[in-house]
Amino acid sequence: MVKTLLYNGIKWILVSDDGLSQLYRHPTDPHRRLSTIDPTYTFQPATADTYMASAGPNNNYGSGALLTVDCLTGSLMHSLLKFDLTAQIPAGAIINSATLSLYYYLYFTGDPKGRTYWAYRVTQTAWTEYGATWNKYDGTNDWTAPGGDYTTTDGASVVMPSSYGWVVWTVTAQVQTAIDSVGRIAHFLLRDDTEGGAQKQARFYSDQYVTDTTKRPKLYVDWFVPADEYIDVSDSGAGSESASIDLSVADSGVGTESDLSISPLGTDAGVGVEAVTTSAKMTVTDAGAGAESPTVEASIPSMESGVGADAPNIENQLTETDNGIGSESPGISASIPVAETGAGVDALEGIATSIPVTDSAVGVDAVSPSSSLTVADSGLGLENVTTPGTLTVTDEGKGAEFAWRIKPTSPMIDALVLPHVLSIRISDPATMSDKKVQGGSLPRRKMVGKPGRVVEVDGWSDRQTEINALEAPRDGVRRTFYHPSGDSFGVLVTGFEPSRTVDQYNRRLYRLAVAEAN
Amino acid sequence: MVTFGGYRLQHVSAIQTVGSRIIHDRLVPSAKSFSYRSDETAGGRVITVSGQIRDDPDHVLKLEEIRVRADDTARPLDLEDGSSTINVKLGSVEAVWTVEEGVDRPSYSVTFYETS
Repeated sequence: MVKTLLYNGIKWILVSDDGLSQLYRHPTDPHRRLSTIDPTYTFQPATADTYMASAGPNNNYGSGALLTVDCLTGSLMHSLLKFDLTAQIPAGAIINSATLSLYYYLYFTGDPKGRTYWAYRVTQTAWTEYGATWNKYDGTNDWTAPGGDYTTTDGASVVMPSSYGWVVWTVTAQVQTAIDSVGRIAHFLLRDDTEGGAQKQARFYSDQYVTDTTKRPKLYVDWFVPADEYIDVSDSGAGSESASIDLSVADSGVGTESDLSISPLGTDAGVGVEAVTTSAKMTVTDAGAGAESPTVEASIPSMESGVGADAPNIENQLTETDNGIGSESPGISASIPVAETGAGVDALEGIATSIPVTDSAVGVDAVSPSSSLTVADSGLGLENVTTPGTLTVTDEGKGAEFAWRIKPTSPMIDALVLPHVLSIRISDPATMSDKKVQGGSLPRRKMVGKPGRVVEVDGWSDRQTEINALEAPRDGVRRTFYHPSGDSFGVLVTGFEPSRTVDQYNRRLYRLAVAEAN
Repeated sequence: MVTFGGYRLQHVSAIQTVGSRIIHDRLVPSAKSFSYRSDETAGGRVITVSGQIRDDPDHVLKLEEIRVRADDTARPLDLEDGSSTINVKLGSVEAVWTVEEGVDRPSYSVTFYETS
């Protein structure tokens, strides 16, 4: 027997079925395929349920373990149930079948067997489990009609049995409506078909029943998702293959015709942006007269690779809606991110930078771009530092100011680096003169003068070329002594004494003496 | 803490004080074996304070702050060892950097001359 599926007016023929997904083919076009996913799920318990009694029109029974239906005059009872299907059933699903099951465990006063009980679709979907009463749907706002607002359009009915057990309503149409237009949340109201007369009260377990949770209300749904309709062109091994799909949209003359979507086959991983896809969607709205102006929406998402800088991407979404007058002007917003590569200057092509300065109307307004200047020490000589601007030195009011310092790792005489320095001694002697005070206990002392600083550097070298180089500055020429700490001053080299012997590591100690000179 | 004219010397590790008197020698041209000597007056004390510049990356500036005070001006020196404050002039300043102590921890030594 050939199994078929009626979808979009076409009776598709089943090709394969693995229990969850199915593949159908077009009845006349051998290349056209329709794949579906056909799962089932039982929702239990209800997301919310309660019952309402006309005898206690302002009482809420949401915390009770039962649901009731009663036809007694003056003491009518209706029950409400809600099932949230959003976690399981996707939008666009087509419901094959759905059944609402409640466990009937007791009748009160009169046996309701043979009576017709209806499951209607609630139209006021804002009702709450702990707020709904006979008069109000959320404890605050009134039902349009006491006892609940519902429609009988797609109601489902059962005839109450003579024994206790599961009572099942077939609610396929109502669940389909919930999927299509109620946010995938199904709302039901149970009531007796003929209200009035003697009491016939049926009791069912609610979602608060804890003794046997399997007897709580449940909703079984069998649905399928028409995942893809596509064209399958297999190589026949001879000549070229061809296939076609009819994209025509018939103008019904009223309202909006069905959207037409075309996209390459892809799988949504559910996380992030999938591989670059191109999709198009065309909506044709029938204005009821003349030719229509189609609206085309297109999007080209780019994928972040997660490594390095991705080529500047421009995401744009172009929407053009015909306002009925003249041509439309679509707008495109774009941004160009520039990633820091970590090396060199990253191009900022086409981007102008500026520092806005607000005129305070008094004096010169400051411009303070924040920046830092890093100078790497090459280890040889002076480094060249160029600052485009002015260098401000703040006088701290003490000692000498150091606008800049050269900080070599070793002392230097001009560009000559003193090797393997062990110690640096800088003496700044003063010459004092004592003048005795007749009869006094202390002399009168005066600083005659300061000859200038004397520096003695001790170190070692295991290279004769270095020793020779250290001999050279002792030539009476004024030079600059650079201290590793950043200090520097003019000196004359007054002595250089290398040791005559070497130690066990073939090193020669030396002492270099310089005197400060202007 | 040792202060000189209100300036605090960092991390002082040693204070050496040398007192002297001024003795006048007059050689006697004869067979006498030693001269004629007379005590003329007391000499002022010479105080040497040694320490270390620590925990300050700008140790050169700290040494410079000491050096600029060797300006032939008498200032009170308070050794804070219980002795009285005395007037001194700052004379010699010496600083030593060694590999053992670390190039950022120079030792220093300053000499003060007591004056009236």
